[in-house]
Amino acid sequence: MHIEQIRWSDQSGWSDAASDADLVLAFADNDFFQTDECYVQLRERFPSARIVGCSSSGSVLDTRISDGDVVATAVKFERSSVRLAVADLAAGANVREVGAALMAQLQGEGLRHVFVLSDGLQVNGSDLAQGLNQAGISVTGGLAGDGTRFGKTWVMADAPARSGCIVAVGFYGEVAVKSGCFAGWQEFGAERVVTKSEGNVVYEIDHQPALDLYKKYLGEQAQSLPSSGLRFPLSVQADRDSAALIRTLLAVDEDARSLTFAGDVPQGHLCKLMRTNLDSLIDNAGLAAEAARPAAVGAAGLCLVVSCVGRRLVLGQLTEDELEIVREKLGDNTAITGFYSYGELAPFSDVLQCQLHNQTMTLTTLYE
Amino acid sequence: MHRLLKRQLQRHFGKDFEPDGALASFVLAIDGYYQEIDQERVLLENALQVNTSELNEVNEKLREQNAELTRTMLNTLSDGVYATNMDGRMTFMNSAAEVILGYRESDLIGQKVHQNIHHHHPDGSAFPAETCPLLEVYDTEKGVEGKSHFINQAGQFVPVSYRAQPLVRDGETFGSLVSFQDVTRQQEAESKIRLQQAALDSAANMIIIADVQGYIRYVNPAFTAVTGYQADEVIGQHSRLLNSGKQDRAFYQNLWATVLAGKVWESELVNRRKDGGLYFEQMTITPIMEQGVVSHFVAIKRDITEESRIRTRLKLVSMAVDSINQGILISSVPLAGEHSKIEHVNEGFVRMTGFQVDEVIGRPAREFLRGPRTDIDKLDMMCETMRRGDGHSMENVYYRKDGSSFDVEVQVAPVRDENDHLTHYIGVLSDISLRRQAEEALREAHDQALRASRMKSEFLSTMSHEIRTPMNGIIGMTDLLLDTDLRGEQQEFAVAVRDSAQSLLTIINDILDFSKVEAGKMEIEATDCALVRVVEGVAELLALKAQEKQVSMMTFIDPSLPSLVRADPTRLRQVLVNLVGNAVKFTERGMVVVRALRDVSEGHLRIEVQDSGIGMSIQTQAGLFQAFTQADSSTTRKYGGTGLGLAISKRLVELMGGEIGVESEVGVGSTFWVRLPLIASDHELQPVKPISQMRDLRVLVVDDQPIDREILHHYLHSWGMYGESAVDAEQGLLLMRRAVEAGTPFDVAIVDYSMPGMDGVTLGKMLHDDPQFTRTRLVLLTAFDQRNLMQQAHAAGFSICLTKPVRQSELYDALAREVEEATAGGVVAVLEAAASVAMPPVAAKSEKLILLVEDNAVNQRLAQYQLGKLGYAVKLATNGEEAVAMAQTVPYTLILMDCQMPVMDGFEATRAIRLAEQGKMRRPIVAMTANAMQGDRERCLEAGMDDYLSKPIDPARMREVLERWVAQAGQEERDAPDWERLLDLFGDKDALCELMEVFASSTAELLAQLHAASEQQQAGRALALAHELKGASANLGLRKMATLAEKIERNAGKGAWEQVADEFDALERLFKLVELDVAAYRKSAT
Repeated sequence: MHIEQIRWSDQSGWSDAASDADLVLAFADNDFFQTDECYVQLRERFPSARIVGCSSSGSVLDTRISDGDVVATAVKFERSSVRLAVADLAAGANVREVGAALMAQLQGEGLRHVFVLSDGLQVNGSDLAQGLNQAGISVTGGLAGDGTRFGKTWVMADAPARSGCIVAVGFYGEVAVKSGCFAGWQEFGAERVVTKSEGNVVYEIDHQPALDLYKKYLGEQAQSLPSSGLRFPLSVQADRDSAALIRTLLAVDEDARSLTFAGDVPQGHLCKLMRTNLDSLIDNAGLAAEAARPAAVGAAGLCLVVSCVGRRLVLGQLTEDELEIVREKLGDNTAITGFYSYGELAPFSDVLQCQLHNQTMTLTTLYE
Repeated sequence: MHRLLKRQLQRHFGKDFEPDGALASFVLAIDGYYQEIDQERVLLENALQVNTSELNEVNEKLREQNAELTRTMLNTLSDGVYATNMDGRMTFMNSAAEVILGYRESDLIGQKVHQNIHHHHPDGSAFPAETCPLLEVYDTEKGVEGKSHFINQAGQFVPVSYRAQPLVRDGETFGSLVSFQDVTRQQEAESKIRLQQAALDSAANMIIIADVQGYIRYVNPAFTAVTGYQADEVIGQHSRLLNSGKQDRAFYQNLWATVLAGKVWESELVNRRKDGGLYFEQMTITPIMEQGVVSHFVAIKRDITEESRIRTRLKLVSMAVDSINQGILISSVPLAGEHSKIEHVNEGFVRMTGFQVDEVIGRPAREFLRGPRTDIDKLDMMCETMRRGDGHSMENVYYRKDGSSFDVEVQVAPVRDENDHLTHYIGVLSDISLRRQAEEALREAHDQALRASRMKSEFLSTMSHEIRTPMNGIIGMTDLLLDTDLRGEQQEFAVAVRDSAQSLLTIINDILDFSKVEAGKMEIEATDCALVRVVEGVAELLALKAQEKQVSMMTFIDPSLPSLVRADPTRLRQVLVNLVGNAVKFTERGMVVVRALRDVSEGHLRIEVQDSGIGMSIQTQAGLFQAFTQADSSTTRKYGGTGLGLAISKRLVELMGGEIGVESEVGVGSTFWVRLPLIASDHELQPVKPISQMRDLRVLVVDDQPIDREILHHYLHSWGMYGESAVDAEQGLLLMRRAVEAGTPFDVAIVDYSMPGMDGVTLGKMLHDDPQFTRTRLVLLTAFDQRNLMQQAHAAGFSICLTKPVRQSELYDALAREVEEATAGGVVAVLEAAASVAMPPVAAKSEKLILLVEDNAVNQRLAQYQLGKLGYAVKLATNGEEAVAMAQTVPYTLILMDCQMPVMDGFEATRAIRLAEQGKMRRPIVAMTANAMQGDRERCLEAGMDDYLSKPIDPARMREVLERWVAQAGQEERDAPDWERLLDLFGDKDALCELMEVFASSTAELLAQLHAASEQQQAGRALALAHELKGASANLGLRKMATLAEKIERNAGKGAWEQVADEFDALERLFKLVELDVAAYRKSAT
């Protein structure tokens, strides 16, 4: 495959590039991305490509995170092909069915992998993941981000970016796809039980109001909830033997004393608080890269990074360290792009089923 | 700006350093990061703190919850639980323990548990902690279990079973946990179960517990005892193993239906023991319910075999009582002042008395059955006995309801209960009217029979006497007649008369004997009987006749037979006389041998009479012993006789316990044999003991008759002599010569007269004349008595002639005499012929005076003559009275007393005479009696007679008897003083005489006193007198007197006054003689 990476900035516009790429992936955190103009310009440059992308909470090109610009990666496949399936969310739609439908659309000879970009605020990622899993094909992807504003997210799918849209990219042919999914947060403290919750809203933990728990732990920084809540994601597992998913605190409800997470926290599940360990975060990113690494070291390919806004906020200035360790692991011949999302879709490294993750580094590598 | 950064900047760049431009943004970035880090740190520290406190809270809560949970759990346990630390102090106690021990946990927390609740044993001994197993768990890793007693707060001992474990944490023991149960109730329950078990086990009734299907689960020992099955043999088996088959299916179906429905079943049935025997049982089955459903059955059984048996017996007895003819009356024991009342009567009573049952029940018995003829005294006595509680029986007269009377026998028996209290009387009434009559009739018949019997006996004895007496007269007179000078014709007639009389007597004797035997009056004596005498006597008796017919007669008595046997000599003699008489009668020539031997069968004697007579055919033999049969009528004509002889002999032999038989061959001869039980007497005759000189005597027997030789040899051998025999004279000579040549000549030669060829006398002469045979004495043996022969024999050199039959003793005496008179010359004719009245006079016996007491003139003359012949002087008394008078005046040597005399008969006379004698000088009195019956002998002896002779008097027997008694009479005991010795002692005759006179007079005085003392039975005095007498007599050498005196002394001391009397008589007799001697001596001395 042949990969070209360009950037658009306010000042300079697009860095030059034009090709007969088959696929263009664009990520941005600025208004321009939301305009039709952005899509038109991309189309001009890559007339035969499928153009997909989404808004982010940080755009990744190579080992740099950027905001306020648009990053795009054009890929020319030599031995494989891509196809798109798009769905727009109607009100009250069953996200699971939508996901399943998308997968059904992409069903076909030689389908190796599906990469999904979804609206980040209107979609229940867990449901989507369940729907996507029904086809039995490996799926990765992410939920579009909106910086730290949590306002509106946009998804571009062979059309100008719009909200409430889900796009699934199917990869067919001789393409090796691998993925990695590691987080690096550390559980601490008592095992607790989610004694009252509804979907992704948790009302009580161990029969105590969920909000009070976080406030206790945040102490002074409780004032900056919910963003300070990012520092204590919740590790959730059905029982001690199941794998634990990480859930990011999205919002708090002072009245209900409830917490809203970025993913479902089913009632009766066990949960534990997790804390930051910066070194661990970075090391785990490396683990994810290792997991996604192809057998042939230093092979040429593409790495799609879907990390989490929660990670960015915590890592702060060290965020790019996690990208650098990916580069380190994957070698210099792999192009890296991606975004910081509101939710990551990926299977655990040893499980096929795609899950919705938070505050997790997920990688998808494509090699021909 | 972050303090640290600021400080760092100031340190590195100076105090007032202000970054600019790019540095500023750089510093800002750093600052930002520092801030972030700080915030991060603070956050994390806070988180940590919060987390820790949270965890602590959780822990606390958990711990509390745990503790709470544990506490709750422990407190819900019914077992007491407490925990201790390593010191044994309590750290925890649950509520159950509080209840059991009576302490609150707070009372014991921190206290040493053992010292508070486990410090003593129930028996009061101390229980040191070191020995307590509960405290061992600290050292072991295993728990302990056991039973013990805890002491509760009240100080009581509570029995507990406990388990204790060490409390271990991290591999280290930090305390112990003890759980315990109060087992009081358990123990109570256990002992209750044990009691119940023991009750079941010891129950006398059989108990079986079976499950609902009938399989046996438990049996008690009583079951084993009755059925024989051990518990382990039947547990698990079905209870039907006891079934006997005596009950049908329906029975068992009903049983099961009843008990399965939950109801109790009771009945009697027959079951089977292990050994197959059947037994009755009464069984009750009770179902056991568990939660409304039958789970088990308990069967209680009672072996009622005995009961049924008793029941059956009772029923039988009851039936028997009712069915008998006797009346049974059961009445109660009366209370004081009341009468006994009738409680029950049987059918028999009703029939007997006519009273109905309901008429008598409950009424006093005395209301009924009495009547005019009832003996009231007997009734009262019966009541008295009954009151005492004894049984009683009486005969009386009772009256029926209709007033008729009947003889009744009443037997009353008391009935007592198990405590021996009198509860009832049973009376049995028997109507004995018929019985009475029968008794009367029986008595009548008995009396009649007695009378008839007595009459028969009297007849027999009278007839016996009446017949014999005249017979005796006839025969005796005829004999006397024959002894006188008679002309030929007269002689003939007299002989004829005598023969006829003899025959008649024989016939009469036979008839009387026969009828005696038939009447069962023949009694067999058992007395000492000398076989030799009997057999030889019989032979002698008939020898004359044999000699007349020239038939040789020999006897042989086996020397090994006892000299005296227990038998009836009279009857034995009678039988032998019959047999030998027959033998002689029916033998024309040859010999008759009578042998007495041991029979082949042990314990029996065999007497044979062998003849060489006409013999008998088989048919003849067959009818031989029957009465009134002779061989044939021709025999009667030829030989005479009644035909009763053998019949009588047979009966006599059988009465003696023996057998009689015959072997015979026509023309050859017959052998009659008698087998009798051989019972040796305790006494012995003076045996013919061979004296030493007689042994090894060398005797030669020359006789052609083998039997003679045999007999002689037997005798010779038994005497230890050496015998040889020769069959004729020629052989005899040969043997004599040989003996002389051998240097052992014969001492004696016994030679038979009649031999073929050379006769005995001729041989004797030859031997006598031959000098080499001088040593040998010659004895002639002859069958015939010929006067000439005697003289011839003596002339020929025979020193002795023996006539056959030769007596054993005769032979012996002859041989002995030969030895004695070996050197003496002279010939002594020893001759004992039998039956002839012509007896040579015996040496003068004129001293012996005999009183003859006989009323019959003929018999008087007869006896006088006989006695005269015997050399006795005879005085006559004609009746008993005379005899008594005469006896008192003259000291007759012997009195012959006839028994049957008028005025005073012999017995009375004898008694009188004896009375008069008063024990002094007892004279022999010999009875002459015509009744030869057993009873007579006793009568004679009882009357005081010493012996008796049967009429007709047998002269030989008379002689024997007289000799014996006269000799005895003459045989006085004398105690003669030894004059010579006494003379030596005293030196002086005069002095001696004086002394003796003094002795005589003083002794007479002593004797008189002694007599008086012994009469009065004064032991002391008699003793003293006897003692004096003894001394006096002994001093004078009067040993016999002294001995008697000593005896008197002893017996007087013992109080044996009868013996004293006898001995005194003897002593007096001796003394009288001594007196006479003294008188005589004095006469001779002066």
